[in-house]
Amino acid sequence: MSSPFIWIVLPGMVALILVFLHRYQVISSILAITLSLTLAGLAWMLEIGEVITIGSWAFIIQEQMTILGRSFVISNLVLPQIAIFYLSFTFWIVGALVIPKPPFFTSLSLASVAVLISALSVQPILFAALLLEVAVLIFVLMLTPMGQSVNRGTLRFLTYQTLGLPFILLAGWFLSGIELQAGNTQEIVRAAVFLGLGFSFHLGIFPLHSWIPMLTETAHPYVTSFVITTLLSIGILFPVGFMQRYPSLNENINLLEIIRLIGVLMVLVGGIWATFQRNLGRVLGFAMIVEIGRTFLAISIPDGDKLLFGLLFPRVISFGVWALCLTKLRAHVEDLKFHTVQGYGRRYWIAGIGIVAANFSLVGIPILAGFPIYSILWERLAVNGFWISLAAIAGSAGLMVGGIRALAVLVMGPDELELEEEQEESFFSNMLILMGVSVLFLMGLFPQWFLPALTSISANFGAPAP
Amino acid sequence: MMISISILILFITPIIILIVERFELRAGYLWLLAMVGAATAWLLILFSRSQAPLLISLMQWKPEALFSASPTLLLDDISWIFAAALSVFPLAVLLTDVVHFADVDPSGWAATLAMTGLGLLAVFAENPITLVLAWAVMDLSETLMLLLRVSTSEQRERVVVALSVRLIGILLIVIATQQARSIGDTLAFNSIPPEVSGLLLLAAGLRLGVLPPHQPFFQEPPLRRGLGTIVRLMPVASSLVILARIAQVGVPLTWQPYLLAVAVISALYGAYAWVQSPNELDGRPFWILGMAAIALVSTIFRLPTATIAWGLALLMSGSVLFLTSNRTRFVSLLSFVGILGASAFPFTPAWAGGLLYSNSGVILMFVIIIAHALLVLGYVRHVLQPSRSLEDVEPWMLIVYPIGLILLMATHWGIAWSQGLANPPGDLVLSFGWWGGVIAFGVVAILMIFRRREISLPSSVSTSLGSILSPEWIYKILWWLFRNLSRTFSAISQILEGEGGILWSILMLILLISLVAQQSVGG
Repeated sequence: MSSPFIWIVLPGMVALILVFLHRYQVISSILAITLSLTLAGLAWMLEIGEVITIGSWAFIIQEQMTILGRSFVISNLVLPQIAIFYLSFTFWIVGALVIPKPPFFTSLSLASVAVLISALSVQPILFAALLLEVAVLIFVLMLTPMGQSVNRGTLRFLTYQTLGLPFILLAGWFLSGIELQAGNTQEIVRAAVFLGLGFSFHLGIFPLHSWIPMLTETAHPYVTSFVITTLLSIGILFPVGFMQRYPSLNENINLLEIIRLIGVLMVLVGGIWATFQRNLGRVLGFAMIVEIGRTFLAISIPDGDKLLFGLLFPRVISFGVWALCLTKLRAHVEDLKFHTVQGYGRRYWIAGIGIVAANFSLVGIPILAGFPIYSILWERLAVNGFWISLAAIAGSAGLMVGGIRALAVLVMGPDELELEEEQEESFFSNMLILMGVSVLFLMGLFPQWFLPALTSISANFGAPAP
Repeated sequence: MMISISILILFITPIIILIVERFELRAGYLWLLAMVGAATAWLLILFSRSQAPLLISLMQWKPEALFSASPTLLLDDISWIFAAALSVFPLAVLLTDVVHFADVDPSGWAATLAMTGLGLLAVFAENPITLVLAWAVMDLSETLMLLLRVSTSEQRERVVVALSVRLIGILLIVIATQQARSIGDTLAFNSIPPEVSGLLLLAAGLRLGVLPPHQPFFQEPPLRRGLGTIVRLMPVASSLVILARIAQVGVPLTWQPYLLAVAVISALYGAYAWVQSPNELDGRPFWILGMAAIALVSTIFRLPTATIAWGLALLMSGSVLFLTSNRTRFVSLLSFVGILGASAFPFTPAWAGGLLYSNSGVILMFVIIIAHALLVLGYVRHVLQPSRSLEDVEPWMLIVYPIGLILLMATHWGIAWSQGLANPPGDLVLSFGWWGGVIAFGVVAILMIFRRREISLPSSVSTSLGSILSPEWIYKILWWLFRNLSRTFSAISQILEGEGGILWSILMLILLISLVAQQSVGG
């Protein structure tokens, strides 16, 4: 048995079975939750390469698996990352239990995580691009439920992701060459440029970000949030791994400076645009752009990769709660435009609290989950230059204005729109939102409970430098 | 240790009250429980003075290598003064609330205690992390409390505006922290680097409503008198303590003229609006604005004692008036003693505030005296206004009710006398520092004579004065700017998300790459 089999093939197979169980949403969700929790637990506990004995049965888990001549490698080093990915996935599936969602959400989301992990672990790296595209196609299926026409946000998403594919393929091709002829700096720079371009499309780097707000405006909020946060959390490891494998890059093209510039641009663009939005979904989209920027800022500082996984949990929970609440609201209104949802925060006040708490958490308002990790990030940036830190906080300020405007819209409006329909709200979804909000507060007040474990996880997924 | 226990008591007692309330216990017992909690906390805070200076770590944020600071409390001279002042508030509220016993509100008592606990956390904050945590909890609780109680869309809008202003204040503190880090320092309130004091002052000034002058609540939210006073004054106290700390290091010289100009306009505007207010509760935001602006001017002049004196006067004299719902002759007399607390008369608690008069130039001194006089005039006017009497209450209430007010004043005078705030502000007996308060009272007397003889400004002049001093025009400009920027960004979004959006994006990307390439490779 090999580690790729456990964390890629097995979930892939279960995802296939879940496709057939799509009519039984609760059963398939429970199956997916059980599996992902088991996979996360195994990743946390198992030691690859050591003899494992269960009763009279003894075996060793190999770190490599070969399919059609391609190797998939999952070593001990990356197991904590795998555990975090499956734990995050569990969170999304638990949230999805209480909202209306596309029928194949559970199976496709499980498949997408397995495919993205396979993209991270495939060697040669050239094939990662193809696996990424497979993941994107799965995402498109999730975003466009059967029988519905593709919305313009999904179309733009597919276009940009596909435009990024050739660049990543070229980068992979160059990298394969580099691994044969060690020390070729010129080739490394070329590979970096192509990889950078490819991931600019993939991660929605400014000015290629338009698909994000389009998607959050038009598609299912919960599915969209899952797609973007998963893509960001796993996708960002490609460039990070690349930087760690070729540290000489920074000497040649000031890579860290460029990444910092991208980060500042993203945070500012996201923050400024969030200020002026008139649609709750779009505010969510620009919050995601700010978060992408923060991730880039984190990897631009020395030892910043330690912050990557520290950023991940507050991000997943904040976006999860936010998307859950928007989905709940969306079930009662035509769209998420400000004038449509005016006053609905009073009628569905738990959803209203969730939206505002999640938004404020992503701003970095104290006592919420984002604050401790963002304050570390801002401090680290300030040591490198006050203006960069200031720009990062300015982005947060823009997002805060977006959140304040959303709050105003949710609580204002016609006075007769009172709590009359409060009882109609589902008990479980309310409980889940309140639990999510409580976790946001706990993480904000007691970061010592989770940050030490998360900041000790290595961000290097790939093989060592040649 | 004593301050930790007192804060803990202020958080635990409300929980017990809310739990016990469910068992339909008589309100009197709940009131007694709240009283015991409040009194214990107050005494503990008073006695904690002997332990100063003291650092108390609330918890250690980990990993320690990544966090430069963790939530910590600091007990020193400045924090103790404001904490002692704040800790008497719940007692005063509970005691003065007895005249409303028919309209009993245990959850209001619980909220009063909890808000005081939060206020104490903010006042004792040793570093920005502790302060912003306390501020955020206070702001979010206040917002939630108000949103649950206000009934019109307009009021809800004001609540959200108030929250947004406070949150900007928090962000300014965060920025100040980062600025300190960028110069290789770690910001702690007992050693503020002079480079960041300007930003801290902006944060505190913004939360006080002084920089720029603004009033989130043109109309006071519908809270009970006692709880309303606590809700309005706790955030103010936690900002005043920052002012007092900034006053120890001063603000950058280049900032001073601008800050002074805005603070003086705020003082005049607040004082003028306070006099014009129909009653003390509607005028409360303007009393806070006017007095806080004078405290802020003292901070700019690097006068910590004066800042504390004006700050305490704002809190203590103000609360005497705000908590007085019913008046007998004796209670009115107490209110006049309350005015003395803010008068800067020799040997009164705000006498050290007179330092401002002896340290500012003649013109500024004149303007501040006018603002001070208007604030005192407004106070007198509100005290003299007819109010409900105490005839229809039970006899024991007649005794308990004024005790609340007496406690407030005793604490104010006690703190002032023990901490040297009522000491002479300078050596020269014939200085403005000594007699500034008396001059202000002289102006009040003249203004009162004018009023009595019905000599007042023509209404057109009065209206124009109000418009000039009011900051509304600033907000109109800002709103215009926001609308136009909104249109611009919306247009850019439409281009990027439209049919030709992909081409536009790629064009922009090429431009960006060429710029970056020039900078990083071509150099």
